[in-house]
Amino acid sequence: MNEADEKGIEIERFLKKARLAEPSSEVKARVIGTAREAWSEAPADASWRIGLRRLAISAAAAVVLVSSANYFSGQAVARWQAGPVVAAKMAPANFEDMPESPYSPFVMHLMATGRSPAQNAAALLDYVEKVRETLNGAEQDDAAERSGSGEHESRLLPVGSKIDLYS
Amino acid sequence: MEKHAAEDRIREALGQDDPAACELLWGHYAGDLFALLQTMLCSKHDAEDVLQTVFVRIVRKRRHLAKAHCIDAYVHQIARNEAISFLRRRRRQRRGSELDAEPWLTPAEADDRPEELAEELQTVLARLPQAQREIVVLKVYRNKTFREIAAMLELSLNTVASRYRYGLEKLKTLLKDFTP
Repeated sequence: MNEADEKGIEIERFLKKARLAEPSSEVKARVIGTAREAWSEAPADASWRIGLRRLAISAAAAVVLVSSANYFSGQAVARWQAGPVVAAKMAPANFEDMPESPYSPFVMHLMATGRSPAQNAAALLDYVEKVRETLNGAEQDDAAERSGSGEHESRLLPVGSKIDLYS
Repeated sequence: MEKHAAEDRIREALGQDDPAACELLWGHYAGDLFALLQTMLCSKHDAEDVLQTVFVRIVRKRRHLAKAHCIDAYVHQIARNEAISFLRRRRRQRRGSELDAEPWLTPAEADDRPEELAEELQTVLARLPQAQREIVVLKVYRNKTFREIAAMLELSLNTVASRYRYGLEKLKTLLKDFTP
């Protein structure tokens, strides 16, 4: 046995000159009385009952949370209401003022009849017929004019002419 | 063996939800718990109050206690937790004022100055770090083995032994004036 152990034993012996106070009989009666009271007040819960209780509490908390969120979001944002109906108004286009386009007679016709081209095949046929008549008329007028003047010169450049186009 | 038999009896009573378990728990654990509480709180009165709270807590957790791997460790852990929260409360309330005068160490044998000696030992022990003091008190005054202390406080054997050794070394210095 080394010196340190001997010293340790000596200290232990010295410490043992005192002893710890034990709980008195009054303390025992008081503590056991209180413990028994607590025993009867809080019956031991079955483990399944604890789980069920926790589940019920969680569900209740979720319901409260969702309903309060709904309620407060309704408070924060005003309820939507339909405003007064505002009719869109569009002035009819004046096709007379529009620059001339190849379809202008047809568009004029549509405007006159007030139908869309997809729905009005008859108008389209009429238009085609009118265009054809117009073209025929123009062709005949041109032929009559040429025969009357006697000029048959082509407006195209003659083949083999020596004009330098790139100079 | 006796310890295991006592634990089994307690477990059985707890399993049957028999309030007689209170007496069994008292008979088996009250001494050790009271020693631990006095060591931690350095006050007999406070230890008595906390002991009552500990028993109420044990009763409320009796279902867990019945299933606990080591009842000994479980009840000591409850006692330690209660003592720590009591110390926090006491620190806030008393703010460094003196502890109660009633000694938690009493003279063991006739001596020429028994009261004085007990008081001095108490003062010296109070100057040890709490972790070392717990182990020294349980070993010296409750005659527990290192293994029992390790199980009780849920520490390793080496930790318990080294804390005890450091505790004695510190006591050696503190007790220089008292030892013959």
